[in-house]
Amino acid sequence: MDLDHASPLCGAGMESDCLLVRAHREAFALIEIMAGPEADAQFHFTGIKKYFNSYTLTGRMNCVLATYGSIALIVLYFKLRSKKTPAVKAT
Amino acid sequence: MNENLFASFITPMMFGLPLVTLIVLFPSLLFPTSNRLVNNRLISLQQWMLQLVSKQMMSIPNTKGQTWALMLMSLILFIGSTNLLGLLPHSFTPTTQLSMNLGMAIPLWAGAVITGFRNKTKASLAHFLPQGTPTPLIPMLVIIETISLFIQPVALAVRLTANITAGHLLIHLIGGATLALMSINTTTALITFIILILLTVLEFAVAMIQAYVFTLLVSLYLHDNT
Repeated sequence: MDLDHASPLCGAGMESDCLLVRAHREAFALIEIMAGPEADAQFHFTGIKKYFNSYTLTGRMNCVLATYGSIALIVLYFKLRSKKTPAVKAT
Repeated sequence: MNENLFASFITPMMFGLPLVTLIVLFPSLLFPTSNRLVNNRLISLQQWMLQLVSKQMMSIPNTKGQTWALMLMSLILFIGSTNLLGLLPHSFTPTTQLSMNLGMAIPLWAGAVITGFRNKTKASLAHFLPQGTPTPLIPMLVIIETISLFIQPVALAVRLTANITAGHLLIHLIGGATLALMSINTTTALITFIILILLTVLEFAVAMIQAYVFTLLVSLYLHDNT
């Protein structure tokens, strides 16, 4: 949407309409930033940040999965450790 | 006195059989269907209200979410009518039972979340991490967002239960206080009675607002997941 020419009154001295157009432009820009897959293209990460970041959809998904995986590994580690340690017998 | 205060929240029984099924089904009798082209005043009024509510509520979800319109309209009608009927003296309100509200909240919330995971798996998983989170805070925020997701159905149910129960208890207490004060001080009893009237008006509003809030939140969860 071409917001620069959205209002025919822009540049004709009608400041309030230009302000309206600017407000719409900022609102759409915000929506564009917050929108999902289409916004991923505007970020250019390299290396590991390409897959693990908090901006792109893929990056956020991978961070979430990595967090859940880490929690699962920690829980598994403690479960296996408690099984390995023999129970202390009362004398 | 203590026993009487909570007596209205006990599930009514008759000859050892629970009446709760009949009570839950009763509000449907108040919304008759008609096979006529031009309906009577009651049905026309109900249809007008339903149209007003559905226009307001169904503007939020997208096309996929709007397939839930019948479910959401039934929900708001049921909760609203049940809450309003519960304001009748000596009646039982099913929505004061946490079990009932959890039974409504959990399946609806779970349906919305599962729909989201099925149709938009990536976006649903990415939802657990707000955009722009600093890297050191990522694990903590993921855990917090997960907890907040699972709290949603509990909050839905407890909100409805607590609001309706609290209102009924207050009406009961202030009504009892009005009766007790009548023999002691008539002026104070009159002031308490005015407070009771105002509280009853408030409870009418709360009954309808809580129905709207419950349904609105379910539609918002649906919107997030479709």
